[in-house]
Amino acid sequence: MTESLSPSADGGIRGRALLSPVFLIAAGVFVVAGFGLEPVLQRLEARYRKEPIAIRRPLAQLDAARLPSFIPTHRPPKFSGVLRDVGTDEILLKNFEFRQGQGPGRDVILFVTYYADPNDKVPHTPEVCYRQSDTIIEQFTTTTLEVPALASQHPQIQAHMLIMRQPKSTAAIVYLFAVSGEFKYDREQVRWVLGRPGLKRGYFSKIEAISPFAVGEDPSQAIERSRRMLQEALPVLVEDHYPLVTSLAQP
Amino acid sequence: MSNTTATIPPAASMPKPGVGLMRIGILLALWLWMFLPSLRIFAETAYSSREWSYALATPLLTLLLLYRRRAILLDSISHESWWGLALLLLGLAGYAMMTWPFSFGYPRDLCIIVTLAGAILAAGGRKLLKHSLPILLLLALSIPISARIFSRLIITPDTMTLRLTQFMLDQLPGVNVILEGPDLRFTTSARTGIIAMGEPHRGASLLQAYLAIGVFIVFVRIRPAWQVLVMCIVALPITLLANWLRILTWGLMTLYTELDLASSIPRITATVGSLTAAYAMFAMILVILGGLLMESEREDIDEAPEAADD
Repeated sequence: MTESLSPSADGGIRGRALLSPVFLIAAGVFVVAGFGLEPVLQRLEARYRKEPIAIRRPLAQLDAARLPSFIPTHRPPKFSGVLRDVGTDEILLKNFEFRQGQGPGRDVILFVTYYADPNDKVPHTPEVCYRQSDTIIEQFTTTTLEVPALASQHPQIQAHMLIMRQPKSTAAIVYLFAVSGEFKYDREQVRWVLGRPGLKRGYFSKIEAISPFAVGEDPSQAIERSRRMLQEALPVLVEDHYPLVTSLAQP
Repeated sequence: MSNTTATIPPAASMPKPGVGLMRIGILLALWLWMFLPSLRIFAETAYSSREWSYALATPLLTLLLLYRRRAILLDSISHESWWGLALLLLGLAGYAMMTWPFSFGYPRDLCIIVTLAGAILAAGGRKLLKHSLPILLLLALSIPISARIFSRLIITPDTMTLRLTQFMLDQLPGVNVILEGPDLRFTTSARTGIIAMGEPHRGASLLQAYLAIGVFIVFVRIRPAWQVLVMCIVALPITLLANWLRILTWGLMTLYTELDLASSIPRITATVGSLTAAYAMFAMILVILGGLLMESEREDIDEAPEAADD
């Protein structure tokens, strides 16, 4: 005589197999997260939202005399497309001439933007921004800046370096970000620092040094001019303009 | 008269495909419910963007893959896995962290796929997850990348493709093509103009679409692991080649037809042609690899589908 499984016994086994601990917990996690995750995250964001902090001294008041290798000029920048919808009113766009002994000077543009609100969108970086106009990227890499005046807190500062070509001109651009007392070269790194819990306030600033050069010319000197500009400008920005790190944590 | 006792096996020792399917179905439904707003945004982006419009075909391609692999998927369902729960929690934690305190959209969106993988592993076991990976990959390729990240990723292929296209077109008789910034400016005896005028990312476009085609065509059949490995290696070169063929076709149509420079016909022709070319290249290599299958491997694939994918 063959004894067959009763439907209730088989259904009971199936039911018990379905409602296993792993399955129940997984389903429970989905239900709880589905209802509760967004409201909790919104509350946390509201509770721990970082506050803006104003620049100490406007960028327009940058003391050009503290850039020993450069003389400010009144010539308009040769490289077009620099000013876009940058999303801030705190902007410095200044043309300098690189002092090079007795020879003719070469232009270097210093382009600095400051964002007081850490919740603002981090702006386009040059390799993305300029390509929206008539520009092609020929080289894109990182470079290390030695800044003796900042060496105690920032022994090595890395920046992005790129060579850009427009229809009638080329330029070497070296840029980086200052974010809440740190220097970062990548936009995603900036967003990481801005999101990091801890500080009550935050800011970020993009600093670009743009050195135009003639089509076909060796770009190495233009790169060096841009690097020199940042090496001299960064200490001025940190000492005179950017908020003190201590003020970012004050209640 | 014989007494035969049917022994009821302990529930924990034998996986029950029907129960496994129910677990997977319920967790999948919960996953869909939880991430429906995000999936809706993906669909809206695909609907409104030329670059991501191929993602509208993802549900159909996914269903096709599920149907074609149904035997091996059903055969793979085994015991639940606590590791799946861990993976699910990891995906949710990543999703939460990329929402607050950090705000990284694309990594957050990828975490949606991680939670799905966790649900599959939790409900159906390791083997099921392994055989579901192609479907998860296809879903991941359908998630739109933000414009900024995309622009950063394609800098090199964009520049190199434009340079190569300029070089090739410039060799044609009676044609002069120069690259000014991102513009391919041409001059012929009949007219002058710009190839792909006004098109964003003209040098690198539809890259994920080509990869999605590759994923589909490779995994629509059960193949030996070494074939899958070879296809992984050739996937990127085929993608870049198809991308170059796209802009080259666009250029040739612009140079040799009387169409207005703003006409969409060259773009559509180039797009369809390059997608077809990508399909053909993937298929051709698979045919060649199929011809290299040893007789014993062929028999193995015919008799035991699950063995071929190990």
